[in-house]
Amino acid sequence: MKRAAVAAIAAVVLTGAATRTTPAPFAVAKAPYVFHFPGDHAAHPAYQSEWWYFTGHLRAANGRRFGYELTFFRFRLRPEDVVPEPKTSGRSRWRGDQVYAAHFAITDDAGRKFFHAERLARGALGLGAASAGQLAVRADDWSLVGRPMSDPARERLTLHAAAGGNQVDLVQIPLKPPAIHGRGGVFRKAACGTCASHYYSYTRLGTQGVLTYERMKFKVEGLSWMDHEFGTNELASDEAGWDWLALQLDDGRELMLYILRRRDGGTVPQSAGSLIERDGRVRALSADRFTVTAKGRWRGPQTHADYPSGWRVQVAEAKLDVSLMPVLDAQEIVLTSGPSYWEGSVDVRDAATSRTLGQGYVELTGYVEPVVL
Amino acid sequence: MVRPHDSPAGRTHRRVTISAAFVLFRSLVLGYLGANRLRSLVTLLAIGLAVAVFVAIDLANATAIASFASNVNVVSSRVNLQVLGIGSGFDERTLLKVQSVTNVQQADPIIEASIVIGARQADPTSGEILRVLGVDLLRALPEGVEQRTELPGGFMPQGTGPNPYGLIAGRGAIVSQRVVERYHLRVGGPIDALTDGRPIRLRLAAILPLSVGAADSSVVFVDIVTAQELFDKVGLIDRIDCVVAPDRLAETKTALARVLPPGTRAVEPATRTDEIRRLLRSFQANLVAISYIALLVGAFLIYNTVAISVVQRRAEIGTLRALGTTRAEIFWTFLMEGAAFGLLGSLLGLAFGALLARLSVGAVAHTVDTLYVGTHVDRVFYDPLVMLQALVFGIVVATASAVAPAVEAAATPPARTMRSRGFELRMWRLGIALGLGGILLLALAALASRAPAIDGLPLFGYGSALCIILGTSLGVPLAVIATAHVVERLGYRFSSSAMLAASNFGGTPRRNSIAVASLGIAVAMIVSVAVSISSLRATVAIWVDETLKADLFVRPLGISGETYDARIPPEVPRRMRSLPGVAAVDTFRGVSVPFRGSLMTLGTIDFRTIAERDWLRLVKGADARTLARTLPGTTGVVVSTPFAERFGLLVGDEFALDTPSGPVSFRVAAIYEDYSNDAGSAVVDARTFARLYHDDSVSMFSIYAKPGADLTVLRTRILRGVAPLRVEVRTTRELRAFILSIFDRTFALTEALNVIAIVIAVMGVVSTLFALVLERQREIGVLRYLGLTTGAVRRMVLYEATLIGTLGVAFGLGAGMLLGLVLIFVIDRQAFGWPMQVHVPYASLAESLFLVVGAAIVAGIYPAHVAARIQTADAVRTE
Repeated sequence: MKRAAVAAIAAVVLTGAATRTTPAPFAVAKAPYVFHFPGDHAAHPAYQSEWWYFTGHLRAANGRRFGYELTFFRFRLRPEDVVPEPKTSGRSRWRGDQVYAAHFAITDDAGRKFFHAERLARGALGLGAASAGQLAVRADDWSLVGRPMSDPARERLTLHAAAGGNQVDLVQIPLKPPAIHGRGGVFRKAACGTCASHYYSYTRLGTQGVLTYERMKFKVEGLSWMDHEFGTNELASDEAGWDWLALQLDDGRELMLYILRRRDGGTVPQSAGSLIERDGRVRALSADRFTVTAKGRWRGPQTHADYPSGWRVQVAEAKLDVSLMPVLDAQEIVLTSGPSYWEGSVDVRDAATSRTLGQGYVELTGYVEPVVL
Repeated sequence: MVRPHDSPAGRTHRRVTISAAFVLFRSLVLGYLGANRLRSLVTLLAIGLAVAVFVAIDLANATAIASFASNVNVVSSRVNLQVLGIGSGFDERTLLKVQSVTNVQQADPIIEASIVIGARQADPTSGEILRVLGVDLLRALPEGVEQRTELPGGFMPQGTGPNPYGLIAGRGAIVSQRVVERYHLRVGGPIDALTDGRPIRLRLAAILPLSVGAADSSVVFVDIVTAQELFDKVGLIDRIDCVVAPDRLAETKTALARVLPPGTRAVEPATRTDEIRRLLRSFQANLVAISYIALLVGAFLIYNTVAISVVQRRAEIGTLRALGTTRAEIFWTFLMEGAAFGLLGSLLGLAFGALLARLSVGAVAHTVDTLYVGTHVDRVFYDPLVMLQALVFGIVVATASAVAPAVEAAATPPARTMRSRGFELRMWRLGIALGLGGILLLALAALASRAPAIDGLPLFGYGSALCIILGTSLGVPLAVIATAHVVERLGYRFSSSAMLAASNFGGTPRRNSIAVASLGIAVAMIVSVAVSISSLRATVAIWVDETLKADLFVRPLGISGETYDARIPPEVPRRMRSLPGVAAVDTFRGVSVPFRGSLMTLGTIDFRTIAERDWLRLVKGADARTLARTLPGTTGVVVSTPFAERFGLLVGDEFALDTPSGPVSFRVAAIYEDYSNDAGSAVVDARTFARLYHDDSVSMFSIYAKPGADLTVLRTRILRGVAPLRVEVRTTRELRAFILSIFDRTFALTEALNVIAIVIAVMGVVSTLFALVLERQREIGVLRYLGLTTGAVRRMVLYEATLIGTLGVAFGLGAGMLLGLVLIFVIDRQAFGWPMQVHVPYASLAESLFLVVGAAIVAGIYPAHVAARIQTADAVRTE
């Protein structure tokens, strides 16, 4: 949901078509962009929105299986939304044009339950913060810290979030280098000039740590996926949202598909994906190189949104024909601070034999209402 | 005496008895009530009115508390712990410490401030005070903010809810529907207001519908940035609302106490409500006491009604007993009559009271807002508990009032007995015995009046008042008999009607005694309340004259009450010193601080000058000269009489307060008289306060003019000199009138309640006279036969009404004076800590007492008319 959530909040930031016509004072995603690590792991405050997005599959020592999502968002306010500086009185430390949000979710396979929580913090007093120099993001007491990121062999990312008797304290070890999506360092989302982002993923992170679920502690390990994306005015006004799929295959490859949907129901031609080979090489996939077919529907009980549920995914050049089945139908993140979305753990099976081929996460945005980003 | 059916069966098979009583009830009581419809109706109305008063007062009190309690929780009902500061806020970084405490799930910073909207210079009271809550609108958006998609840039286009960023932009404020309509505000448009007299401009970003959330309509939400910068609170917050795991509340509180800076405390939201409840306790208890008296008058009336119906059906009861009805059955039947009156009357009272509450709530809320704590009541809180309590109370009191008549009915022998010869003698003896009992009760009252308050409440004082009421009532029968005796003698000389009236009056002493007593109690209420209010008013007037020594009084425009902690920068009064015509300037500051589970006012003045100014009325401890020399810069304080009284402090005692500089012990150097509030004030030197509370602003200041200076010119100079601040400048005379007008408004409700009690009592007179006339139908018929004219009959009844009225007023006057003394010297003294001089408002008292006698006579008109219509032939035929 990265995008989704983001969208949620960001929607707020940009209000509608009227604002889009005014020139954005923000940095925009433009080619060519050359990523430099570890510098690009950190925040890019000149862009309007940015997120660090973790999803993963964890297994406890006793075999119990959990899916989790922990995402951090950064938004920069439009200049016109910033309160004018006071002329006579002092200046409040609560001022600032950056806002942070975070979403935390746990999918409990055995208990057939889904938990989620959100945080919203302004970039003031250290409540919310994202360093531009190194990977360090926080929203209230939830945090993402990368260190030492200067040495790729020793890179560690630590995650912390806690809410309502549930908590994660996880350490992520990159098993593959960052995979940069799109072309020329730019991932396009529509035809318009700014409609793009800078986007890369850690597609295979070894995860270890402790997960507290309903006040019970589990020592867990598993695999995670991190997205880091930033941009400004990324969606066109006729776009409704996107379906995002991230599959981690047991054969050592990963697949990311980003299908952008129009408000009229059609698919945006800029939809694209990446196939990451076992050795980390990234093969960009344009929209005509894959097909994704929804097999069922699921309706959110609170939002009444009508989501697709269960897919068949075919990528001929990767010799892939798989079906995706949600571990749980009810993995909808219902938000108070923005448009809700569905983000869930899925099983990846061979379409013909139903043999398990891996695991994945799917994100569905814009089903409750169009995302503005 | 024959007791054919007084068998154990009656007692052992109570259920059978009661069901038999039901059958009897239907035939004996309902039939009777049907035949006496008008009298039953009067009784019902009176009980209804009494219960209504009770309901209205309790609802008003409950609403005042509830509206404050909901304000404590306006932002989120999930908040179960609050971090509160003292005075003008605490360091905002405290939030980070609070957030880091385990089990604190959510911590929202809040700034509390006030603005005045709609204030006009010409009329300082024209403005309305709105309470501003500065919150982090990004995450603590108040529930129920109305969606306004037309707001440019303010809301998400998709309509999922308000855009917090839009709310923040350009000093956005969320304002209630009521305020928006009243001041014709426009979404996106400006809101011009004053804060501490300083003009500010907010922008209406969204509307809070009245029907949603706990916030009352006087609350305005702004973002914390706006709040800090606009209200001069940069770096500060006033409170932190926390959501804590409910099962970890106690340990979290302890953990918080360890990280919180001095002058802050973590309390449950109910604590603040409890403090307010304690603050309002005396004020509310006094109102409740009055509603109990209304109920007491109602109880007399029920007793009266049931007793009369017993007497009237003596023959019937005798017959029933002869036919085998048991005593128990008769007893239960009449008890049920009382209960039925209670039930129906109370139901009537609930409906009535709910209506009356609309008026009383306004009056109570206004007083609370003006004198105690800022609050705004949008609607009556119809507390179901209050309704239920009133219903139960009404029924219990009615049933209990019927016990004595029911016992008497049960004692009726099977055959009708004639009045015995010794009747008169017995009545004298009984009257004297009751009178002696009354004297005993009065002695008890005197004793109780010397006992101290219990936990700040004058419980013994109330007890003393009750003893006076009951004691004097017990004297009534003797007085009735004696008066009848005397008037009967004298009556020979004047008119036969008067003589007959007196004879009737003395012939049915019990019924008349009850009518006299209930009228007397109501009159006593009027008298005592009038005397005590007038005494307090006279005392306050003298106090005001002696205290207001300066020539002009200045404070921010639009502040109406005592509850507003205004903050004016100290350089403003300093600037005033150099204005031509100004001899001196005194500054004052007041903050409300928690103290011993309640709230007190901590005031500041410059002690160096108090000897020359001589406005502080010191009653105990050091004199002004000594204070001026020794107090400046120290933690010595002078405390008000209510403060000393409430908290039991004497000169030389010390008490501790939590300050932003840590706990500080203050020593009482002297006690001064103060009638401005009953919460209690302690006054500390201005420099000590500035040092301890890091705050040197002032709430108001007063100006001493040079001799011969023109005050009108000076006033204009001040108004110009404080710009851009906007202030109200009052002369001594204007301020005095203002204070007394607040006083009068405060007691308006009390006086209204009195009138209701009189109405109930007059209904009692109607009811009594009616019964007497009906009972004596035959007698009157005979009299008519013997040549008495209809006019004479009419006069006879009216004379009797006059006797009841006069005697009631006489008793009420006596009891009322005693009650007044108890109110002045015991109840008000203990409850509010206000010493008073007695001041009897003779003229207005005489006026209202004549009115009461008049009302009693008027009450006799209809019964007199009925009596006059009695036909000679019909009545005598049976004789």
